Amino acid sequence: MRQLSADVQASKAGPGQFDMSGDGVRCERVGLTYPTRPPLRALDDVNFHIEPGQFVSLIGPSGCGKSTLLRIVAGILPATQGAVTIDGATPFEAREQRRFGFVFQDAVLLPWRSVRQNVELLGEIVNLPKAERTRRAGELLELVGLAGFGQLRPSELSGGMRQRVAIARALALDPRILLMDEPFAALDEFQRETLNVELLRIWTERRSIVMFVTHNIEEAIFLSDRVLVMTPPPGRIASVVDVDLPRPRDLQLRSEPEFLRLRRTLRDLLIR
Amino acid sequence: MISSSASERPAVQSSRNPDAAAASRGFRALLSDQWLRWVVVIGILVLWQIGTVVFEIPKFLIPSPIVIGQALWTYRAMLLTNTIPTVEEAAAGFILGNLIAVVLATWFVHVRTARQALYPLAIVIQSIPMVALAPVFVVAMGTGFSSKVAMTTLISFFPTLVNATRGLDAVERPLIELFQSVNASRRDIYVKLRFPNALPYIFLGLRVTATSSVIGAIIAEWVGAQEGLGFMVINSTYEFNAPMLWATLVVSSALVLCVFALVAVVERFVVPWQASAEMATGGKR
Repeated sequence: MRQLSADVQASKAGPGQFDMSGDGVRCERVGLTYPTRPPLRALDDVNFHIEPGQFVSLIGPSGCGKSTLLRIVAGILPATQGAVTIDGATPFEAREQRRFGFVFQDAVLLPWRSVRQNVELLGEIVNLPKAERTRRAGELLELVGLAGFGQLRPSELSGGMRQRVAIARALALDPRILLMDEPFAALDEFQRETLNVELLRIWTERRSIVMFVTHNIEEAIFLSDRVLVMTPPPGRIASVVDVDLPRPRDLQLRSEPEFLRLRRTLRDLLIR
Repeated sequence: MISSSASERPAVQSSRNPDAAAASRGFRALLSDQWLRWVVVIGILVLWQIGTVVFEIPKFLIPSPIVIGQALWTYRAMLLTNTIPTVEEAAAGFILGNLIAVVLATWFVHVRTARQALYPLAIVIQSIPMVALAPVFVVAMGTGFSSKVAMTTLISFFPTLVNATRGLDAVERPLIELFQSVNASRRDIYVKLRFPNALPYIFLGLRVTATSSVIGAIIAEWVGAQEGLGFMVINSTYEFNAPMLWATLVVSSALVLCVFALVAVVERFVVPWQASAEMATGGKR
């Protein structure tokens, strides 16, 4: 226990200096079969490798196992075939070392806690000292653009702001891997665009691996270094599309020829 | 730093204003409701008074409100000394029953087999009419304090068990996964997530059992006791003292209302996030 919280503190790198060591996320022949009758194959022979600091999107029709794959990487759901390694460790070990940050489609903030207390939640769970928790929460609220909103209750915020709080909460333990499960799917188009830009800004300040599940092609291209295209069940990775667009990116990018070309490529892959 | 985009900022204000509007609308509605209620209550009392005078109903059958009021004053000392044991019996059973319910619900949520084994049993116990159980307890445990507490405990137990179990269960799955993703213990998940989440549900149980524990105590006293409001009901019936009987009824229902109000006030303090959510939706219960 003591060793774990020491680990959390050790992984705290100052802004600007990123820990790019390690192997990243490696999925080798990962499959998941539910023992129903007949057996239900949710995932089949999934292979990929994400290097440290990469932003990767998983895209595919609903029900293709994108979210399931995210949970296998997080060590919440065990794979029935193959192996996932996180910097050489198993997902379960990585979870014990608190390497994951999780953002879901709904912000799922705790309504009895203020915005600030929600951001401090994970720090409480891993027994960070109070002063450290407060400091981190302050920094993170500023990072996500909610510096003055710490005392409000989640019910007083808009959907987009709640999702910002959820992002701040996910970053509270300085995760090596940020897992985002359709985080902006419930927002309207304007909020989604705003948060796409904000997420890239946050990511350049707090560099980590991001695995971003979405079913929005433009969002996937705009954000990612690479897009993994998944097929309907049993889910497997049909193709990998590298996005070689320069960073930093802004919304203008989406009318560039290269962006449009990638969009067409992805659409063809998904519709096929 | 630009703290928030233009597209999001108005949302805060607009989400606040309807809240305030709903709150004041709710308050006004409450006021007019209150007003209507008092008109009805006073109207009934006046009609009752007129009826007893016009039809010359003898006060040993149905006493008029004024006679009941006089009885309340005449028997005030006796009513007070008999209210205390009823309150004690109800409170002891209320606390004990709810405590057992919350502990058992906690066990149920963590140990599936415990729930499967005991939940049906709890439903069977609940299906026994409480009025029929009162004599059982009095015969088994005597006419003293303990048989009353057994009764009120049993009455307080079930509604809270059901609600607490539901509340502890009704946690959104992503939240559990969030806790798991940082390797939180089951204890953390319980203390920081399940229990606070269950509080509004538990209070639903507390509201119900607060009133029914008073009623349970009175029923148990009815069957056999040396003191208490239920004892006074029986006694005044035997003595054909209708004004005293009615005065006891008035005190009993006043007691139930007080207990209910007390729980509602405590709830506002303990579960403020729920109270504000209720206000915003105009009260969903």
